[in-house]
Amino acid sequence: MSEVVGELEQLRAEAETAIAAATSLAELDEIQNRYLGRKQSRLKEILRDIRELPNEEKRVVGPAGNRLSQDLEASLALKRAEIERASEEELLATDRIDLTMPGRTPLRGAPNPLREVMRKIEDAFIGIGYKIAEGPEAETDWNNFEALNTPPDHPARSLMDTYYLDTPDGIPQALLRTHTSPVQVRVMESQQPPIYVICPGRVFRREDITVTSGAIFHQIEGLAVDEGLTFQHLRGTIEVYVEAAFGPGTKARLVPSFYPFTEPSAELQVSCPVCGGSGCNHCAQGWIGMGGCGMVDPNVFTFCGIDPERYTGFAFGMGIDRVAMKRFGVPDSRLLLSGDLRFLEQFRGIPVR
Amino acid sequence: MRVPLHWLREYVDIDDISSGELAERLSHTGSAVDFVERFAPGVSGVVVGRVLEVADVPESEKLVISKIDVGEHGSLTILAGAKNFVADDRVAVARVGATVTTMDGPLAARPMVGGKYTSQGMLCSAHELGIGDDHAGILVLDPEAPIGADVADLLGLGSDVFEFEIYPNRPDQMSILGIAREVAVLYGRALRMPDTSVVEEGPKATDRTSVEIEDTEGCPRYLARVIEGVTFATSPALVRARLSACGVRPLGNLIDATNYVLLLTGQPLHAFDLDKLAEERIVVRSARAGEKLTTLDGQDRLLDTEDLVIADGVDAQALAGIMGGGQSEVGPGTERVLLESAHFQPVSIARTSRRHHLRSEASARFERGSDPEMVPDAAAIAVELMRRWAGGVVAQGSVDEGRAPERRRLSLRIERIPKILGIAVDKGEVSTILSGLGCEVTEVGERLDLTAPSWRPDLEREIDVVEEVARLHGYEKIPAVLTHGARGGRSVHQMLRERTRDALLGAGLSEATLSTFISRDDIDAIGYEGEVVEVSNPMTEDQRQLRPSLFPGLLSAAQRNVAHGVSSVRLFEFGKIFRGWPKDAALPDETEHVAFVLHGELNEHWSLPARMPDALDAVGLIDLVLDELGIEGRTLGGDPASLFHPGRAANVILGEQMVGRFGELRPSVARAFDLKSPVVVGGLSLEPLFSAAPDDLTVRPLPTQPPVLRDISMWLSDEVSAGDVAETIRSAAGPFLESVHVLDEYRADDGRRSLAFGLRFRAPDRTLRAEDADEARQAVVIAVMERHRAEIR
Repeated sequence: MSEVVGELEQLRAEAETAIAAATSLAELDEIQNRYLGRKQSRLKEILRDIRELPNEEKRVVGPAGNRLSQDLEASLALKRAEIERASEEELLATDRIDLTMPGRTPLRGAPNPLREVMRKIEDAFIGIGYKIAEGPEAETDWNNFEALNTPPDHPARSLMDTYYLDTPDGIPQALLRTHTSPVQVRVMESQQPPIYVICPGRVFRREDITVTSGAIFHQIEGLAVDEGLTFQHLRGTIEVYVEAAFGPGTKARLVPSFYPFTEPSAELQVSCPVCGGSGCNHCAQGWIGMGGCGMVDPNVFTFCGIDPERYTGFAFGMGIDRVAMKRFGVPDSRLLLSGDLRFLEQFRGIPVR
Repeated sequence: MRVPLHWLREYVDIDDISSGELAERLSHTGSAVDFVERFAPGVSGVVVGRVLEVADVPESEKLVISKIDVGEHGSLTILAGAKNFVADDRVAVARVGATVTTMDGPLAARPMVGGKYTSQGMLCSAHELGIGDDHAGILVLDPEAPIGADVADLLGLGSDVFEFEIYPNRPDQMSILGIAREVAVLYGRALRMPDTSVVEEGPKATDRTSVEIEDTEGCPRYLARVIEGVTFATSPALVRARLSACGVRPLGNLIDATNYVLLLTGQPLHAFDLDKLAEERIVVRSARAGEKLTTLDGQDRLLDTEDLVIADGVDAQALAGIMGGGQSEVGPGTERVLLESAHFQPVSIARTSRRHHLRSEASARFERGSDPEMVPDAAAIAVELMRRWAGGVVAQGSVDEGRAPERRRLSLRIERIPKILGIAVDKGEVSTILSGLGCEVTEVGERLDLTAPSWRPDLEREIDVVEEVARLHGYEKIPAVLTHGARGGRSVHQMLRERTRDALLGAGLSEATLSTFISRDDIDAIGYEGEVVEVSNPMTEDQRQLRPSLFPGLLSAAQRNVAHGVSSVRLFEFGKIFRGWPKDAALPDETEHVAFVLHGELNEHWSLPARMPDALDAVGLIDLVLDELGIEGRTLGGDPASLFHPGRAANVILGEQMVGRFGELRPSVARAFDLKSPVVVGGLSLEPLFSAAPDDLTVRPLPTQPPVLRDISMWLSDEVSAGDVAETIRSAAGPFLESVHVLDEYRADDGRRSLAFGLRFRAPDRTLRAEDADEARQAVVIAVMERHRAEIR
């Protein structure tokens, strides 16, 4: 064995020992420099002087030198990683943030309960192929009453105390709509069946503002007109509404009622969310009236230019304010129109069901 | 309509049906029972007694001592404080242990000692039994009342009373008989009609009076009966109990008879004092111009020539079908009665009732449509009751002018039932249902020809009959089947509105829904001078105006929040606003807006300094919304409206169109809403805003070349806006400028303003050289110096 190869072996032993003993990255840098440095290291010197060796020895010393160089680099890298890991652990062992301090929550607003209830019902009906129709809050007497089979002296008009508008001379007196049904009239007057729409919006009744109801309400009405629609389909569709508005598991029933624009007509009653149907002072024997519905009266079709012999249809309407009040236990209807942030902020986590 | 079951069961058997079940069944078939309550529930243990003897208590001016036979319990000695009864009278005896009602609640009868006498119970007044206001006298019962019988059972005290909600199309349900008929159909039972026979021993009615109908359209039929020699007094106890149970005050036999029959049959009646009618005759006519009438409620009314009146030979004596007049009212001293039973046209009654703001039990029935064929029967029942209760002699027959309209005929095609209801109902069942309701039914193949009963004005068309079949067959027997439409979904406008809403919620604003009504003061407070739409019949004067802007509502809400101790108010609202009437338009100018208000210290986090909002928060929110909608190229301009701080507000312009405005309020406007400055508001008009939203988006290729960044800082005078400088930079920086943005604003101690801009350059196809960027920056420097007199720092 050549003298040079022997020296390489000795260098290897020295360097490996030094690497193993090192405890800091600075030491490793120094070892790297000492054994592998381009300028002063003995290994580089040997490799530089290789050309002066006899050919035989060249063939042995060259590869041996290179192998030593690679092995030392690898050992250094291993040791370096080991030291870094150890120092990271040491750091992490003491670095702490008090996570019980308030987090940096981005500003976020609170949703409106009326709007959330409406959006949920809208989404449910979009899911069964309905469009959303809207119309003006100021309406004509024709759209609000007459086209809905409620002529001026109809006794049903006294049930809906109406706000009338100061209307310029020569124009029939306009009013604030008492329900969103005029939107249905607008839809039927502007298109032929099939019609599947729901009409959300604000409505007005000239009534005293009390804890349970105000003069401004929000409604969602629905209208379906097509060939072959029957009371069965009305009942099936009402179930969609009830689940969207009150959540799954709510019981509902239809009992006969009267509206000028539907026949047969029904009142929608749902099981009382307070007592669950056993009867309490929030309900009538466990049930609460939550809206009206029925088969569209043939007169309404005729007024709107739809053939009542060919088409049938159903309509339904519900007060969203009442839904929100019952569903969320709102104690006073006035809160819904208050813009009171102490109230609104409670709806951040409003349930999706 | 209140229906005591104790009365109802005289006309249909219901004793085997619990009142809960009956209420449920009726509600499920279209007769909505609002609630069930017990009438005079506090009375128990009170029995009928016969007065054996009664004598004054010598030691007392008021007290009498009586001996009362109470049947199986023997006879009792009872002290009483009234002297209106005599031996052999039947009285209500509360024995010791019985309870009666008083104003303070139930009272148990105890042995009572008065001087040397001991009372073994008490004699009850009407008031103590809960059947009227009379508590001065002892209630004297019907002479046939069985001794020892339970008074509560006899008078229906403690019996259930149903309160029905009456739908406008069902006037027939506004009577005991109408409800009895419904029950009879539901349970397949017989309806017992009341006895209409009259003992007539007087002269012919036509010899006593006459009736002339001038307006046969308003009054198709008028029937008068006459009874003479009557004595006005209280009615029998049972009648008073029933009227009280129905919520009608007993007023004396002659009046009670008309009310009793009205409740029983639904036919309104009116009793005139015949001696007070000029010429002792009736004329049914329109009121004369300027004619006046004092109605029974004491109101002097100026009549309209469209009002139908019941007149005597000279003056109007009653507002037809609504209320009588005080002048011809029956009362103590009345000896001869003319009893009116008539049919009036609903629309005429409805109009007059509305015109005079006057509603009565009578008008409520006539305006929905009374039964024209009930006219003679109701008169017969009532005049016979008067004879029995008030004595006197009934004139023979009646004066009967006009006639009942023909019964309506209509047809039902059997195939329409499944077409509307989705289920077939057996033809036999349909026929049974309709016959039970009083229709005459003839089967003609697959069609039923019907004659509608006179008491059902709502049965006019085929669909009305289908409804009857549906409700009596039972809605619950119709299965639920889901159907669906075709292409559902939100419109573009609706989706953009949701996007806007979500953007504002995400920016930390909460959504309010506020009133459409607004006060004049609030409109003036924001300096709005445009046209306003007003309600002609507001509930209160401060709700007369429809809001022409969303700002006042939001500002008032902010004020309320501050008053409640909410320190940071950030609210928005979507809503309609109203601004006058376009020429010749049927409806006012109504547009949809979104607006917001920011007020109070914004404290994002404890580790950051709290700060007050300013106009730049509004700019940021507006730009956030525009960004979310994909709208680019907005500019600010125009003179801000007078509600704004002139130096801290602007209009938002897209193209040529103003779509919104924002800014800090003028301090005086903030003060008008009790708010401290700064108050920031902003609003956008949805229609023009959304029409600017793009339909498409195409992705730009990602840059392949690195950017080169350059900054420029400069001193500027205060008149120069950052936007103008940025515009100058864009136009001067050459083709490689990719973007420019404000890096910093700084004010020196002497007040001078410095702005720093960051410029990003990039060439699409090669690595830009530093020299290219420097050259462009130099061009920018020259431009801002020339155009804005900027001094480069």
